Amino acid sequence: MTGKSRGADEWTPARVTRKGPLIISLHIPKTAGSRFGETLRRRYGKRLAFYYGKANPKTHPLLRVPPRQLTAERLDELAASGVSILHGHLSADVMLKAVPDPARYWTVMREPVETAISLYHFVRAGRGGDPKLRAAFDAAEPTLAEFVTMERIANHQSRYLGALPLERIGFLGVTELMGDMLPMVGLKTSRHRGNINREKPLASLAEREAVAAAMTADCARYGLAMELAMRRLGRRGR
Amino acid sequence: MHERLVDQVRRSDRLILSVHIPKTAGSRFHAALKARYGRAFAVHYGADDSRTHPLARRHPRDFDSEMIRDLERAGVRILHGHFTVRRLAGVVDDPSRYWVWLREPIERTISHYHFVKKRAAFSDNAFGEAIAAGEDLATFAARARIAAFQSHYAEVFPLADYGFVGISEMFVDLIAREGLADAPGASNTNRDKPFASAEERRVLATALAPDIGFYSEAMARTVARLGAAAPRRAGLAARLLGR
Repeated sequence: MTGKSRGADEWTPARVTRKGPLIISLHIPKTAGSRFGETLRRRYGKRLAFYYGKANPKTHPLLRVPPRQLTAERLDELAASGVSILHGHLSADVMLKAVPDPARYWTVMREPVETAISLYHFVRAGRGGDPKLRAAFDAAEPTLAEFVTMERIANHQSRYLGALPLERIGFLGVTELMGDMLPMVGLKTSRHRGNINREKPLASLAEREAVAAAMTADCARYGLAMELAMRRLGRRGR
Repeated sequence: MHERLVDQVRRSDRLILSVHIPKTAGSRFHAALKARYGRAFAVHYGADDSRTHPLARRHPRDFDSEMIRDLERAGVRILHGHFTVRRLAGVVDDPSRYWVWLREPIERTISHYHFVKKRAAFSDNAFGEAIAAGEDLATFAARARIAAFQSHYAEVFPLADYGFVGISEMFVDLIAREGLADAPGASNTNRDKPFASAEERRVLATALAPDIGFYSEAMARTVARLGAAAPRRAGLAARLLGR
């Protein structure tokens, strides 16, 4: 245990400002990041840039390169063009090489078992995942319990978050509490519906326990994110 | 379609059993119910506890339909306390008459450990004795009883069939939606509880998989329920997640 206040009481949210610095918003798939991106677009307009890979038309023209080429110089150029916040499927470990200050990161975590279930049905429906993952999925046709042990899937959220110290980042949201958390960084919700899978069935308790057992790093980080949210929202007395 | 708690109480004169799983905001819920229902609200915190309603001063294993009926005749509408659905299901087999709150299992376990530790010197339960003798948090979490603590209390009927399953982290929003007034001063928060790192939490997550799975279903159902209700702020998660 690391003391009663670390990461909670001394934290102040990092808001987007015209003066900068550029904020990096990590969109972890299936955590309502598309909806969050739309909230950002409505608030910041052209001051928001997206990154969804070098070939994706949503990606800002200055960023149509592989992730490893998102260097500090390129991000400086992006900021100089008037962009204040970058949102997309970005890995923290890649971005930390260009932007080492954790206070410049925003991200949102979702309850990990339900996230994994969403991801499973998203990939199974042929709507998500990169080509390698889709090929691996099609070859194995895994059950949910098998899917969450696949190397590219296990601890899905932690893989995006890497070495980022969550207690010290500029904004750590919890999807299930976003309506209450958005005002911390000066935002309000939008009505955009995100990329919803309405056919996703509810998993059994046995399946959920198996997913939880495979997602311990994600469960740990989500527990931390939730506790920080409670402290920062002033809701410890529950 | 979920029926608000106040409407459930209004509609039926049958006793509702409000299961207080330790460290899940049960004391705060207790205060909210007491404020709303007064003498129609009763508690059970053990056969010898002075707070326990006189008609319920027995071990939960000795609860029977006659005791339930006596409470109903005495005008009690809600009995709240540390009893398990598992223990009472033979007496009250209608899941819609049970209410329960669940909390993120890792933080619940951390809270539980420090709650017991603080009282270990004058506690007479097995956990308190072990913690007083030096049992650490990871060992505590690995106990079978703790790893599935919330499941042990409430995993009896399908969660969809309960009268109410709440998420402690959404307490403020949910209590208002259910027609009750919050009582924020009533919680027994341990403000000296240390903050656990992600690494420390991961050790606990490995042990707590049963409860994490159980909580995840409750969270998914709560998010879905909020999405089906009026479009207030708490419904945002449901709209975000499309359920």
